[in-house]
Amino acid sequence: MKKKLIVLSAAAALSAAAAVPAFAMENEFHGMYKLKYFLTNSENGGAGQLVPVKSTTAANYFEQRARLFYSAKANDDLKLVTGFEIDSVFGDKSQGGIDDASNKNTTAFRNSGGGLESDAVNLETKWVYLDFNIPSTPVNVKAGIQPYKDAFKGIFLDADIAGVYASAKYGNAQTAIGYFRPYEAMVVSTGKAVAPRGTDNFDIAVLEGKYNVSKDLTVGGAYFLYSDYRTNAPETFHTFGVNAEAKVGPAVISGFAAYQTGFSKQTTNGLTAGKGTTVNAWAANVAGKVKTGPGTAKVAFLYTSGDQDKTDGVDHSWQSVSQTKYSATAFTPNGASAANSYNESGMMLLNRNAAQGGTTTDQNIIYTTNNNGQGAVIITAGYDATITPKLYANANVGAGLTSENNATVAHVDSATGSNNGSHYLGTEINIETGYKLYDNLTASFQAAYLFLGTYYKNTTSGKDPVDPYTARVALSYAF
Amino acid sequence: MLLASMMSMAGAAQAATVKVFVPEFRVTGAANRDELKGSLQGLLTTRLSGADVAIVESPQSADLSVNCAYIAFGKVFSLDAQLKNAAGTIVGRAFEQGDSADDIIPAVSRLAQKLNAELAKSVKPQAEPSPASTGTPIPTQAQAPAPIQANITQVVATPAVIVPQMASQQTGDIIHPQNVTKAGESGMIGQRLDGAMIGLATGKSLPSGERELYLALEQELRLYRQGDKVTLLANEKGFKANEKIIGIDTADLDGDGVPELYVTLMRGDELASQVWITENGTFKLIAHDLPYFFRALPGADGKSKLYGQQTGRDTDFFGDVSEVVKTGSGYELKNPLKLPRSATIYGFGRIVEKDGTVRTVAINKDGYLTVYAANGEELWRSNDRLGGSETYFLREDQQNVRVTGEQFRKIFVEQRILTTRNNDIIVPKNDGFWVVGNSRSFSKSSIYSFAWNGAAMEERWHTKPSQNYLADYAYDEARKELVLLEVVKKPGMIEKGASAISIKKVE
Repeated sequence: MKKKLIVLSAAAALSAAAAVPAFAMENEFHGMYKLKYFLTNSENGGAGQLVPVKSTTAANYFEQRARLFYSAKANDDLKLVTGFEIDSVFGDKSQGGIDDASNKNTTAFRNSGGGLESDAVNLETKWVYLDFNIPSTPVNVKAGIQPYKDAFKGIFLDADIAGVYASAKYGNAQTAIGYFRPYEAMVVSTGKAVAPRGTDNFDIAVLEGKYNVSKDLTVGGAYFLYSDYRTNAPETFHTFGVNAEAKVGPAVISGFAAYQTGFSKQTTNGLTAGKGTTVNAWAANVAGKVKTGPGTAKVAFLYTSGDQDKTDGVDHSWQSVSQTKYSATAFTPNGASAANSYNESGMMLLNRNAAQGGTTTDQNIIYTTNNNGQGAVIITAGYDATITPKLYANANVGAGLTSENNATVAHVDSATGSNNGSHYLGTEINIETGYKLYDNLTASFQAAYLFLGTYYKNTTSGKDPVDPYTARVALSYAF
Repeated sequence: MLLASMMSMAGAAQAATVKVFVPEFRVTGAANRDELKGSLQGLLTTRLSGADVAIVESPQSADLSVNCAYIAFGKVFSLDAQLKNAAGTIVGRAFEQGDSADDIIPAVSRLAQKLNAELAKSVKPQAEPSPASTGTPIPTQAQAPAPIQANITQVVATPAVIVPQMASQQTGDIIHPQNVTKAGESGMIGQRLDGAMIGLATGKSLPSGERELYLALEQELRLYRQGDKVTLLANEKGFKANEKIIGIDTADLDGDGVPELYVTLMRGDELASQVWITENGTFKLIAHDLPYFFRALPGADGKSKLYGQQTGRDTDFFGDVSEVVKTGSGYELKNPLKLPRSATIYGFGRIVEKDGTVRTVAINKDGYLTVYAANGEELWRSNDRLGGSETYFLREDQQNVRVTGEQFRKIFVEQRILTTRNNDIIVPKNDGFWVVGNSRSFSKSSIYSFAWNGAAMEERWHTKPSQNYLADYAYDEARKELVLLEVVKKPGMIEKGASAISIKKVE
């Protein structure tokens, strides 16, 4: 009999009888890096609505983004979570630049550091929050600057935001309550907070509930309070909604319906109805996907209500959260720097899809779900194929329309001088294919072409604008 | 022990061939007694026969006869043997016990080993061995036909009283048989298996003493016969590109005496598990699209049970871990286990205290071995990380895609925690230089055994650290053997990697 005998070391065989360590900090690291090379006639590395133009020379540029997440974990019930970001553009200004706000040269500003010799102060803080469980309860609390995405697939709020969010799980039921403070009021001339602090804020409160009826059916509901009292033109509205996800046979179906009501003395971006507006808006979604062949076929539909800009004192446009940093008098919600998303579409140019972004470039035809007060209808279909365990390919097609047209967006037919009546924004086709070089490193190619619709007919000096396109080569590493 | 065996070998070298007759077994308490009489006789005969033992057909021509009885009470059985000389005098006895039909063949093998030792004692060495003598030695225990002919490393339990520094004692206690040099003391069968395997499950024990092993890659099943080497018997590659195997287990739920292969398979981010059997050298699919994670674990009674858990729309692991039972043509989950909230089907085990109190052992999400009371209270936690796996499945993660940039998140499939019949637990430990976040590349491994003393876990033994990632393992309780599946070469951009099997004896 071929046997070997080894007497094992007992050096490490000390009775590990110690109780839970009194203090044993665990360090947990996660992160991602994404590098993209763009060849595009419609993107420029910025963020905002993509407005089609008459003609343009294609741009090409490199962007990179690194995110590093560090958690200091005291035990299973307590940890400090931090997240940092470094964005850069190859060849961009590095050792100095002009700060838009102060009009002064500075070496510390966002998204710099990609120039020769690189040195720049460009570290951004994404998250800093405590994540802890309250002893002897099922309650978990996140307190601090944290990521949050709403229960309506992000069409109202999908952002990093400061606040306190407490959730609890009771068997198959989950509940949550949260308070976030996106902004305090600020004296624009001094840049200081309005005293006494905390009285005139932009606040968001949230209540959520979810119940797993079975392993194949989940239902939920959510309520949001949006209250912005930073100026003399306050805005307060409520968002109610329900959602569900079910597996029916081979298909997974999900969706939600939400309604908004309240008032706004501000002028919603894209509308001229004036002060004293009542908010009365809604949104709905349904999506399905089914495993077929070597991948997943999917369809999705989103509707957000719009407003025709009639002076009826009612804003029918779906209100979505966006950055409204400072203003002397009033803000224009639903404008630049969106803090909402709709990733289910699979689109690259048609609407803001955070899953297809990942770097600084963030430009789309339907940039917010409010869509300049016009609302949006987005109908998409796609197929995600796994060709081999290392190789994948996705293809999507999607059409976008406005729910209502208003006059605030340049869709004036220059031949007739009046707004185009068409709601049809365009149809996008896109593909993505990727290869996993290693388990966590993927090289991919993305391309999208958007056939502009009749909404944009003759809007550029009597001619149709050029159809936007983009092609991207990306390296993505996540750990 | 081995020294004694080697001395015995030296003596046996001068012994003559002994003629042995094995009559039919006496069978009591078994349903198929007539069939067992002959089959048990045959099993024992093959295990006794060899160069040193001559099996003869009649008692008249035999030096010794081996009279055996098989007695069953319920599922518990005993094999009792008496060694008689030509005069009818009992010159040796041996017995073996088992508690299920699965144990019969291993028990016969063990009984044969004991009888071989008795045979060696009963045969007188030749008085004056001639240099030209060609007498065949009678087998000793060390030479007896092994149930498994592979290179085997023995794992010896450390004493109850732990001595922190035992380097000098180790030097004196380590004995290197000749074949150790060849295999580098690892017990590894020096045979590269193509591909980085992710799962292992033991199949049938063969009359030859070999065993069947099922191995799995992410998209392939293989059946090997494992003895001195591993031989590929069958493979199955009929999986779609979007399907991924994350684990395999064997269990005999249909009660036909042949274990089925339960394959936990993800199709995209949905469970679509399968059940296979092997027939005539090919895999045959008998059930598919089952919404269960599978894991087979030994119970406190030593019997293996297949457990299952489901996945939910909103949770990775939905509902209780329950026993999988076969109902007609389908499968159902029954008899749910009461586990701590954080425990899932992967990475949990159970131990029973002397008073019958059941404790749950689990590897928590940070990798620490933790003991829980029935009410979920944490009783004890290890100071070292254990477990660790590179096998994972994906779930869609739209909630965090803006932050992570990834459409899917990884859920790692934790290592098995096995409970032995004497209520010890066995748990692997993977370690490595690059284990950060969701990027895992383990490069070292070892297997540990612990015993619960009512207040804390005490280490019984651990295997010599291997310089390879341990993908999966099994413990053959009957043979006291660890069967380890190690990845000896990680897959690269193009390369599929390679794996190897190691066998370690635990005594």
